[in-house]
Amino acid sequence: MSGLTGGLNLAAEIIGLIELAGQVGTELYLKLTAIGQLSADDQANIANAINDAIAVDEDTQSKIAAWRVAVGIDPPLPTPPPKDPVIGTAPAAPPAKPDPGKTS
Amino acid sequence: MGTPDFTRFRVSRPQLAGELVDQVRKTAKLYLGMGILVALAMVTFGCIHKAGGGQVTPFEKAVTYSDMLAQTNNSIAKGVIEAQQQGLITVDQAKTMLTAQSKIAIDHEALTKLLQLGQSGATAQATQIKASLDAIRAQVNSLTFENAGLGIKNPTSQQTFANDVNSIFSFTDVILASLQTAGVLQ
Repeated sequence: MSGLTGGLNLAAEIIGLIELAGQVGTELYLKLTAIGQLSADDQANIANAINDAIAVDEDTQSKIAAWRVAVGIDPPLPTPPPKDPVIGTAPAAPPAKPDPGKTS
Repeated sequence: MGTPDFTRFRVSRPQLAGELVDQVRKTAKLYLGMGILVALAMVTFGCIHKAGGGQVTPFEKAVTYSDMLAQTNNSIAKGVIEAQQQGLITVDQAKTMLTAQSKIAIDHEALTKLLQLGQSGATAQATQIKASLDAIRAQVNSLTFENAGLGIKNPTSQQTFANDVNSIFSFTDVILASLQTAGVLQ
């Protein structure tokens, strides 16, 4: 019985690995097929293809940049300064210095 | 005939399973490359369809294949990152490939922004368009395993990787030919 369970676990692991590895290829196949299905509108097809290509190229660059940081090739990007908690307002100004020429 | 002794199989099974899983892991990665190859073969050779059966214009064809090039480069980059994370290739091997793929993405984005000017606007930028295509092709050439020194020993893996990379080169061929037909390039 334990042999059967072990065999099933192994089969599940193998199927899982193939599924994981094939995911990128399948995803690409579906995307390329979708890209190849054009509408009747020439101008819309051109605009869609161009916008999609720019977005994908930027995604490629950002994923590679993130990987380079993750494996230590590039240093991590500096953390941006904390934003003011109230959205849409400028950070609070520092307290004004007293004017030494004035006396109260 | 006595009862067969299965004890030795039970003892060796974990090791056998480990080797099998390792082998399947490697084979599965080859399927990844094969999947990309099959996808490209199916789409590249006549799978652009237009609703209503209309004629695809040459400029429309060029930008559509340009979009496919971006998608393919993106998928290969994701596959390389995944392969490195699973320990199938080293960081140095991945770095060589991904550096070239990043440059391809940058050059291709520049090309796409020129095509965004429209057919007549792009014609005025023919020199830059040709330069962007040449830059992408140069990066693809630098990615061949002999030039990049990737150290891929398995001949099947070498061939699979070469096919994946060459598919990007094939897209530049189709884009170039379509832009010439459209009159954008001489």
